Amino acid sequence: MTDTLSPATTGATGRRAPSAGNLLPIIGVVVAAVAVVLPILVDDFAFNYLMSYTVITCILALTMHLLMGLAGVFSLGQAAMFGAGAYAAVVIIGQTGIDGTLGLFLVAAVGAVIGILMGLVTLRTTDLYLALTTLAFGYIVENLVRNSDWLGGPQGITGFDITFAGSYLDEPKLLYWVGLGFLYLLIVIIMSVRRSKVGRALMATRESPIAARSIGIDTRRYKLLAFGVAGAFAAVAGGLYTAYALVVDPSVFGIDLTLSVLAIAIVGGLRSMPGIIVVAIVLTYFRNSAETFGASQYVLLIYGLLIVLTLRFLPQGLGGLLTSPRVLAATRSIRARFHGGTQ
Amino acid sequence: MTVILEARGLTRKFGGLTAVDNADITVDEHALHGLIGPNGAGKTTFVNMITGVDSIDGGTVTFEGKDVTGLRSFHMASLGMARSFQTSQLFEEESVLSNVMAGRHRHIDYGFPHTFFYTPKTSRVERANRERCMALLEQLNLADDAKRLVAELPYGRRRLVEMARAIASEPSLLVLDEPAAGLPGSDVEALGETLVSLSKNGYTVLIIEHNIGLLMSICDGLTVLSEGRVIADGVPSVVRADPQVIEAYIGRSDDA
Amino acid sequence: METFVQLIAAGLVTGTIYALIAAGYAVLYTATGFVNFALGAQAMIGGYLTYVFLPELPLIVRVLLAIVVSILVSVASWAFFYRQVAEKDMLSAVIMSFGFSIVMAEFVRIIAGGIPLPAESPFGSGVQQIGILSISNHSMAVLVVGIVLFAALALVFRSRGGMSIRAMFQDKEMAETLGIPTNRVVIGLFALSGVFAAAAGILTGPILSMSPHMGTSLALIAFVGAILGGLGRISTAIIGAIMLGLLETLFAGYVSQDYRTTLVFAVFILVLIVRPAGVFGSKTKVKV
Repeated sequence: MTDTLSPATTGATGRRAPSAGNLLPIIGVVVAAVAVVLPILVDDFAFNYLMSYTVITCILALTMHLLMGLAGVFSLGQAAMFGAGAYAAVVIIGQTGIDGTLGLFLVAAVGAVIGILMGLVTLRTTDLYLALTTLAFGYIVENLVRNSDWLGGPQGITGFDITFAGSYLDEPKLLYWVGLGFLYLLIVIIMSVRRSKVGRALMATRESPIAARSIGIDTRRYKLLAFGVAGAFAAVAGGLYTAYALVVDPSVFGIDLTLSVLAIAIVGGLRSMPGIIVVAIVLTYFRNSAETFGASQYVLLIYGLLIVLTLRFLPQGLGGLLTSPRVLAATRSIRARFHGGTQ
Repeated sequence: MTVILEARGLTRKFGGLTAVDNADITVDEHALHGLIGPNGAGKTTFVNMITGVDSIDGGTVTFEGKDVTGLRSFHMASLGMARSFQTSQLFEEESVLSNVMAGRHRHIDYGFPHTFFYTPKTSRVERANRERCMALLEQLNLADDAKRLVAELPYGRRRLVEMARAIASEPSLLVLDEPAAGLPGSDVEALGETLVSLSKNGYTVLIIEHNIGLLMSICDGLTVLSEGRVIADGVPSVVRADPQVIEAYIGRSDDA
Repeated sequence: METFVQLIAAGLVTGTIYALIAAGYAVLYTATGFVNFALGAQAMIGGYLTYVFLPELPLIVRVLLAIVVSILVSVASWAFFYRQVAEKDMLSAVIMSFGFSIVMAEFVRIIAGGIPLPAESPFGSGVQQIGILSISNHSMAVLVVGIVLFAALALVFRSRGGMSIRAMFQDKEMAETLGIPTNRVVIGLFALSGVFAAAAGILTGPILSMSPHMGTSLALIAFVGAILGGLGRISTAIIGAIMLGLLETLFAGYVSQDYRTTLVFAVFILVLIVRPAGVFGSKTKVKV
């Protein structure tokens, strides 16, 4: 107790900050490459259709990771961003006729604006209130859209074409690849940000706003940045969804969507990108199978149960298992065995 | 000598209570300046006003010749005023190194494109950043803990990490709020040495303590706060002899 | 004038139902800092038990069953789920209650279907004429039940036992040293909030008709009401919820029926930005 200032002698056995193993990046790149050629390997319409939906879900779920996991902003407003993107895509690409190569970026811009707006409105509040304010945002946008004839009212809009580079984006393979492109872009951005100044600023904002400000971090600015980026990508996901569904109606703002993404993010682990991606794929597949087997009415019940049980018994989600002390200790002991116990 | 920080007539009221009443402080460049006073004298409130953490009801703050009254804390910090907190405010679930690297926030600038896409430039800047932080950790004898999570460090070392994070920002004024609180005697001595060496290395330090002994021996200047007012200000030997200080502070050092 | 009186009465009825849930929130929030979003779903289940599931049983049995089930759900969900999570992370516990309310809603939807079902008021379909105001028996019943329950709540909290509960809100550790069993008190408060939720569900059924997800929006709107008045005190939460009911009904009557959702949530955002502690709340920031 007297030498608390001297280096701890227990350094070797102490828990270390989680670090990605050497193998993980290689696995990631291989999986990413396989994902690109997958539609060629498995040339099946239904499969590709499902895959394109999965990719859209992954994008949306990762915006949740960005906001909740990195910035520590517990937002339930993803549906508002997603829905705004869906309507924006129909108006910009479907009705105005701007090609998706440019149009999707305009959709992203709309989403970023919505996200930042949501950020500005809600950032004066914290935690619970912030979660509910962002949720309220969704209800407001839904209510406004439902009552606007211009956007088709409660029936929504059908009979539009979403094009990308001159081709129709409802072709599952193309939709999948375009979605995958945006997904990879988002993954690269998240990974880069995490290792950069902005990532540390977000971490600081999340862990201790007071301390963050004491080292010159404008916490508001970084939260807004997170809202902007999340909004942009959630909107793109919404835009791609219109090409998938060929219809857009106020249900894109619904609690169903919020709940699905929330379940994915919580079960996957808010702080874990791989966890969220894996769970997004698994749950989308599950949902699709449930529909095939006529069990789709149980899907939301199960999502709700997953949220409750995960928060109760596995608060860090499945991704948290990768960094939990016990798993880390086990990894260390295995490594030690391989390297003659240097660690 | 150049004055780096000057606060005039600072006042803060909470409801009907005046926590700090028309208080002044002047800190010279490269000085090790102490702010002392019994518990509840308003020291932390005073410093919170100076560093922009708390709002100001009256008075002015001048930092490096600029009027910074009422600026928010992140703005103060980006101008070069770093601080630690009485109750530790660390990024608990992060490594020591990552805590300290965050401290260098204001010195890192590569623009958003290099943030969103990890370019060679980002990599270069980040590597330099990491090396500087490791060097600082070496100096503070923290290098062995660089990769450990802050949450699992013993108390004394956590306080040191917090200081390291503030130092990493290379502040022109370093404000430490009771860094010795809760440390055993030998650690307090080591802390004193660290503070003196910081001051020798050209840092300006404003340190808050209610423990008068530590500051008397190391400080160049002292400001004494009691019940929200400044009752003495000057070199330690003069302050020590001030009858008001003896009455308000030393006279009841038993409860300090 | 007649429209105005009519709208005020309707607003008070709506507001009273919101206030029943809001009172439940405030009772729990002041004691534990936890906001139980599942109260809305408990209300919904109470409604289904009273009007849909067991039509062959006598009314009084169905009502009692609704109240008992709501109490059990309230207490059990706290004891086995929320409490353990709330100790570590309050926000997670709140999100959990949100998830739990979805579970209850979906459970009911699977059993009873998603189509809204009409519910017949236990007080009949009669309408009374009081001066220029014509008011249904059911609406009057809502007001009467509301007043009775709020008065009972006030009595409980003014009594000696209530004083010690309030002491507990102020300082939990102090209460422990004084020998107030905080854990048992909290369980009791959860049971109390269950009664209020069930009452809200039973009373709202004949007005809105029964649908599985009615609880989710009821929970959110009641929360807005509680925030409007101030969640930090039970009385202000109740008044806020009644105010919101009035505001919403007047807005729907005079301005627009279509945009009432926008109004409710715009009020919510506005209050959080301008007065986070509520219109009547003290200036000290509400901690969540």
